[in-house]
Amino acid sequence: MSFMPVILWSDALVFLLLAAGISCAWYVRQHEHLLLPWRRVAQNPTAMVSLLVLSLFLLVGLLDTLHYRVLLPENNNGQKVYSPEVLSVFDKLLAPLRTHTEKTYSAPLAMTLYAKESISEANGLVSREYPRLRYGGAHLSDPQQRDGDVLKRGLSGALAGLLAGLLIALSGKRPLARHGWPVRPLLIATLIIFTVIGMTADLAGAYHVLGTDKVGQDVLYLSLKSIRTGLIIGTVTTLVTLPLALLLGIAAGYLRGWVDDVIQYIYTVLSSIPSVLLIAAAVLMMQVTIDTHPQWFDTSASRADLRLVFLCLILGVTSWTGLCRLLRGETLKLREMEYIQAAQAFGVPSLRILTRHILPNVMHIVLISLVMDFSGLVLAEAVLSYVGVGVDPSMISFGTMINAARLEMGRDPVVWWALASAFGFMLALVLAANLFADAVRDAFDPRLNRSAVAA
Amino acid sequence: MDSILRVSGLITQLHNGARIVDDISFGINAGETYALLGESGCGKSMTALSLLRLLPDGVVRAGGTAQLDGVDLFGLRESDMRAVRGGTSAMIFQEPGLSLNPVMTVGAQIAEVLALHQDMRGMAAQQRCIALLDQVGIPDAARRVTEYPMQLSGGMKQRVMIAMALAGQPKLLVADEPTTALDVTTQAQVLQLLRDTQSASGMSILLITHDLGVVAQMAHQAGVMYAGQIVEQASRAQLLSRPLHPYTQKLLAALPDANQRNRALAAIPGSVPALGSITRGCRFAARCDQAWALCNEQTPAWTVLNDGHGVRCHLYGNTGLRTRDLVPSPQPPAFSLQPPVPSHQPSALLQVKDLRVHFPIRKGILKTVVGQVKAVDGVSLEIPQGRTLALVGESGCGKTTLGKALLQLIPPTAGSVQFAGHELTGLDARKLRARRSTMQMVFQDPYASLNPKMRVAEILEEGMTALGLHGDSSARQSLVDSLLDQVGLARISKWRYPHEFSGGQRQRIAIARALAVSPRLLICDEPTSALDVSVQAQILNLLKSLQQQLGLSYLFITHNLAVVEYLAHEVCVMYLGRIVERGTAEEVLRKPRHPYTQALLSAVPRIDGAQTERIRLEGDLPSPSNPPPGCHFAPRCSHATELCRRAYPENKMFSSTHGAHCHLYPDIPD
Repeated sequence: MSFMPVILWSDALVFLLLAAGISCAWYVRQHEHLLLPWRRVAQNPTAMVSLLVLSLFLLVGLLDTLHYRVLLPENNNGQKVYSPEVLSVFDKLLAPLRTHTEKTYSAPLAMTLYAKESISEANGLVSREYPRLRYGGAHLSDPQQRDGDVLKRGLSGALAGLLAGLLIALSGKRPLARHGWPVRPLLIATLIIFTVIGMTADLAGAYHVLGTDKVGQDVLYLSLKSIRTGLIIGTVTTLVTLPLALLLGIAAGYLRGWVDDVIQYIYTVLSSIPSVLLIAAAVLMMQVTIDTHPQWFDTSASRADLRLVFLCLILGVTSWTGLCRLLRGETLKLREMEYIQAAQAFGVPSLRILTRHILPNVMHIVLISLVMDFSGLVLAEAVLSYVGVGVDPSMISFGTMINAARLEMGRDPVVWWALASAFGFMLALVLAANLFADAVRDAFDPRLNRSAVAA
Repeated sequence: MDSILRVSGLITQLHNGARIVDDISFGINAGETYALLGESGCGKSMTALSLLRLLPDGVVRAGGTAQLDGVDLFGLRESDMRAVRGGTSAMIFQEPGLSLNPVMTVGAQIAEVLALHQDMRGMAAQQRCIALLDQVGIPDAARRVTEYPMQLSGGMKQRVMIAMALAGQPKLLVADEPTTALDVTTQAQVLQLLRDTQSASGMSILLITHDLGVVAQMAHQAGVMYAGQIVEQASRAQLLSRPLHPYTQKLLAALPDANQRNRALAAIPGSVPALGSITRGCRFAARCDQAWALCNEQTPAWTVLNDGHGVRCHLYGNTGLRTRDLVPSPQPPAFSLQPPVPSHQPSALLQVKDLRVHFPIRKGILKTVVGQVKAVDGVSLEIPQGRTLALVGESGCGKTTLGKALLQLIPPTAGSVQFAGHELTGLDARKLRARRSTMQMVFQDPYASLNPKMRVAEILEEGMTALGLHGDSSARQSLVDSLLDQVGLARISKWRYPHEFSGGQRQRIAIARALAVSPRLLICDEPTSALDVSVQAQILNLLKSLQQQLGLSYLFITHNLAVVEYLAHEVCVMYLGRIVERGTAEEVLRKPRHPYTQALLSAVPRIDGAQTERIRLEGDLPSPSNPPPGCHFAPRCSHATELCRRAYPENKMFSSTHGAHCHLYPDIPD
């Protein structure tokens, strides 16, 4: 085999989440009453367009999660030697973007670097001018041709994207309409997204569409790679919060008494500690541990990855209290419901009441708050990385991008593209997640759906 | 006669075109009460909301006109409409607890209306508030005006709502189920207040109700609504003495009372059709036993008989095809007159001795106990096999707590509960579980008593699984089938979820769930109070036939005395945690001895017009945390003497079964 698949800790957790998500979806499909609110979500145009955008992000994130190491040509006494660099399928697909690094900053779609450099010519003269980029626009001999070339590539790419989008949209139109989904908004969104993708793809072959950063890496590539980090922070953290919040919340609400007191004290104390301090302390401790045990890690990627997983863990520990409090309150209400008392009258054990009666009836709250928390966590990662207690500096994330771009905001002329692309991608991701969360909340809120049956 | 409100051709519909209110016309004369009667889901409230243009989102008025005091309501601008709401017309709602703003004082809420509609502010408004509260019979009005709604009882809140409505000096008062959430004694007070106010101010009332008793007491004219249409309209006397429409006839027949004890009630099969589901023919045809082919084909026209009695039914229409003779509906099948128990006096199945449930009131940081809420305070009762004991009392008297304490859902503070000779109090969870199957409960609210996330089969199986009864799962499945047969539901429905069923069907599922573990005693906690009259009759019939078949005993907790008359063998009347009178149903209901029982009985609105002299109860139920010394009922009793205020009366026996705790009666030597 010319490569060795690598499963990092975060990859394993993502696969776990994916499996859980798929089995949940399958379970929901079997149960009419669970499917009902999702049908309402599916009929909401905003929700479906957001979902389309979200699923594109998800696709990028998943492709970026399939990691492997390449077999190196030289071998060590017959033993295979793999490259110390861990790559992902996504890296492979975007290999030109990853490998085409320039010397330093260059503006979006530029053919030259952003700053003048001294160039010694063959005749010994030293002149200061903007040097040509190694890859960006390298196929053009005359810089004057750039505008025409960009326009041509942009248009042809857009056209190709539009055609591909049209093909997909038309083939998907009939099944969508049959399920009563909003066809027109989805159609328009698909066309727009494919046009943008087509245009970007065609331009990215010859230019740095979003420029390059300080060490000459393509900003588009960095932004796309950041998506995985953001998604992992947003989703894996829930793996930690969910069991804690669910178990403690409904146990406190249902059992009352000293159990309730203990759980309430725990989350009251936890939520009164400044969470940034707690996270900073925990992450720094983890960093020291990682640094003193280099033998644990065979690649630098796995070292950075462990820190990411640990960050999720500590974010989870500090953010379960809100959901826990919510669930306790809801359970307090539910335990007075007559069907709970009917179950008690049958002598149904407490654990069974918790799992059969209370848990299914608080799931809508869990779902709503998970979707709502997602965007908060993505933003939290950016803030923490910016402060310096977030992910490993070698890991590409929105936070590290912003942190790196911050220093250049003061120079003149301003290097704006790194910050702008991080901002733009994050905005798209979080906005889509928020709009989707709103739609989910509306669909699950019985008060908003009652007007249709009021009589 | 001058009519204050004239509605014609009112149509209200959902955005999808389903008509909630379908072509309604009626008029209300000045100073009269028009009652809109019907089961839930018939469009009564929507009619009222359409008139005031307060329809919820998604519901629109699609046609018709309404003239209130000569003003076209639907032609007004929204800003002018605001002067009508609260001014010429006012509305009071069903739930007094939800219609007052909890963070505003009572006075401030009334003053708001005064400022808007009477342009009255400052001291003048304050004086008027006090006068209004006085007018609606709130004692100590000058103090109450500065209190918050939470400091008032339910009846008081409804009085405040009426005072608010009166503040704008309305010509029309729309009362949407004004007494449904209140106790029977409070209901009598509020209805009396409405009548007094009407005769004093000459306003008209549009009364929306499902209670024929309320109609009989209040209405001058009445319209019966069914599935969005008015199917019959007449004066009160005509409607009650000679109902024409089969639906009205059935509604009247479905009312339980003592005369029908030994036969099934005339329940109306099925339930109200879904909105807009019937576009052709008579909407009642599917539930009507007098329907014939024409009823399904042609929508009956509105027919007005010579005496002004209007009805929408082919039986009276001049359709030219066929006018049927009035066939008296067949008598419902009689239950066997044989008492279900053997004639020899059986030993009691359930024996409760001196049961007490006290809830400690804790205060301060150390949570020291500063008092006890004596929810159940020394109750003793016995239920023999196959008999029904009714426990009657106002809300807050501890009935439900007693029921739950019997099941050990709430641990009793003291006393003993013996079931078939076995003591239930103080058992640990495991030993108690072994006894759980003998006694089960049917709850009040069928919408809250079934887990919405479980299918019917799972709901029915839960008890069997928990108690380890009835062997393997295939045996349980066949039992689930037979249970559904027993309560009159289709077997196919076991794979459905509770939200797909109507209220009456849900209550059947709840009964089946209780029966699944083959109990010998069912505790029924107001099982029909959340249901419509016609559905109530179905459930009562079911309970009665189950008793015949299975020899079940019932503890029937209720405030509805008509149901007691129909169902109960013995009656206990509960007041503030204690039983004040007990005896056979005949003895307690025909010859009530305790003044409280007498007051309760006289407060029940009767439809036969044979109104007994009303005994008005003053005030409300005292707090069980601080009961009055002596007889608990003394502060509200018109016969109370000094002795009553000092000492709690002993039980006086009037027969071997009939006894009451009251000082009025001399000690009868054995």
